[in-house]
Amino acid sequence: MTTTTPAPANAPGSTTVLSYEAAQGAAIAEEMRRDDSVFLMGQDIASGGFFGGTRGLVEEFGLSRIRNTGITEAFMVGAAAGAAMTGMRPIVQLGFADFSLIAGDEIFQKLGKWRHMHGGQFELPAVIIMPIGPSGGAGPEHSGSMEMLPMHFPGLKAVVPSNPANAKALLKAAIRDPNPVLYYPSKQLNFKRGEVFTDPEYVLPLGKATIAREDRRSASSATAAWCRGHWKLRRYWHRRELSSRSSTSRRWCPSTARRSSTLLSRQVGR
Amino acid sequence: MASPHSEHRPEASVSPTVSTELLLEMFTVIARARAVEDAVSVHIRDHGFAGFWHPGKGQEGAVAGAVAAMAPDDYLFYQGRGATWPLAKGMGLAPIIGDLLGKVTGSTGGKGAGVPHWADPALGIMGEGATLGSVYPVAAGAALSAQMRGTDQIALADFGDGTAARGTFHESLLEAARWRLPLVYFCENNGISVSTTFDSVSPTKTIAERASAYGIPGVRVDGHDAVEVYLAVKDAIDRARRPGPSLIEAVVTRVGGHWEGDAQKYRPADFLSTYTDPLEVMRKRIDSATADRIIADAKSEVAQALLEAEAAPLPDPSVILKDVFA
Repeated sequence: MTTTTPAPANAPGSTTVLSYEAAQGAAIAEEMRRDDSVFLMGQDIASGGFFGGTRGLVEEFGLSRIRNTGITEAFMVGAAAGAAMTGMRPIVQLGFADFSLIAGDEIFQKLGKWRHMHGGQFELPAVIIMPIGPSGGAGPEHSGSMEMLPMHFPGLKAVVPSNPANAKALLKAAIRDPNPVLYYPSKQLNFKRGEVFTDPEYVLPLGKATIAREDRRSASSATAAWCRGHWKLRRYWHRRELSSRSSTSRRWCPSTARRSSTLLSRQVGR
Repeated sequence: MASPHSEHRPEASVSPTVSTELLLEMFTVIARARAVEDAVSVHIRDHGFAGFWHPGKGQEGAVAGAVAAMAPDDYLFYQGRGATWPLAKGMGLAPIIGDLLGKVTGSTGGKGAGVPHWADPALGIMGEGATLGSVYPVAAGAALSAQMRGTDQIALADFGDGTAARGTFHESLLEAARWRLPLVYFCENNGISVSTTFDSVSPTKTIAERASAYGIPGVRVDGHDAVEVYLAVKDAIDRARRPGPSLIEAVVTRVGGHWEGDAQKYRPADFLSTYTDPLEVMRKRIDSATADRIIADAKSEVAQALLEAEAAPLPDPSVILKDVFA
């Protein structure tokens, strides 16, 4: 199954088909070609990363810009803060979003607050990539969905891409943003393929949702893998409303999707 | 003080090859920092304080010596005891005291009040992580940035003996040593963490000897003597630019409490028996008329800056929502 983002009016025409994860690797490579200050740190990324998304980057950019670290999450993210405030644009690959708790102080207090608590004198353009959700029996400490955490902390932007096209375009926007951005790809979508725009200047703005479909009867929103699942939910609700002749004109999807919609509405201000 | 960690002891002797100009510079920093300590202490007694002031009295010499060895564009990450760090790195008294009182004249415009978050990137004053030990990786990142951009800047992170227990200390030293980052970790070992003594929680007798675990130099110096600290840090910075990190431990004395008003009932009566006032140590190296004038000037400058800070306005509450994002 492939999914696509409806093309904005100004979108360039040329596309190619990539997996959700390869789209992220393409975004990193394009931004590293565009800007010498972009570099990547992470444990075991030089050989391609936990899910292969950084494969090929060492060959092109070398080990000085694709920096293999030890298992040092607090170091990686703290160092990203220090590098970002001194003119670099670091990207950290944390492997699993669960590890954000190991580097919690560095993410939520250093990246998120350094600018504010020092009177706005610093910019911290850093991206922390933290895959979310269950995947192939990864177990209780490697399956967490941590993308709600930045809603509780100031100074951080969060991105939760739902298909290869926006995975690429949003990661590029995150890398170019002057603020720390927490990028939460869904592990469930890693091997889903879809069309992505090939123009290296094509980015999607952060802080805006995509309206995938409109109708006057119901509204729902979702992020990540839920964007696929929630069409089924919508069909279910529609059938129920029709059969019971309910006049309810607006209804939220239950539990998980509602949480996503709350998250989304806070994030995008809709 | 003799170094128990002599393996990496620098060649420099304490009979200093330090210029008179540099001696005067360090003495002036110590005198002004001491004047801030004394004035803030009186201010808190008389007016209270909307925050936590952690007195740095007794530790000014170590800081003055360390910063004297840094270049203007080197990156400084400090911890929040005393006000010597920003003062030594070139910040004026008005923004320093303005920040302490949470006024708009502070370097942060009134944010980080009480718990100081002085910053001025143009002076290389990069700020403080108040979750102690969080500046190890942040400073390492600044050093990595300098290395990747090909500048000859170094980063220096200051911390205390208590903070050397953090996991970030290990992670950052490990990566910094492997990547040969232009970095100096500078410990002010005052032997006490709030009321917990260093020897009761440390498996090693010194901080400096922990450097050997990472294959980098570790040097222990008498932090009461700014000149000895200056020479050790200068040596470390020269090494850092080659590059490669060092760990410097300056043994100092925390004369005051953990915070202002702390009666220190937990300390033995004779805890100052090993203390040598860093101001007096340096005073012996310069002529007394000049020393007296510098001290008198420092006192009047600080008194004036305090008056101005008291008269300055508090920031509008709306600043809390400013600068959250760039």
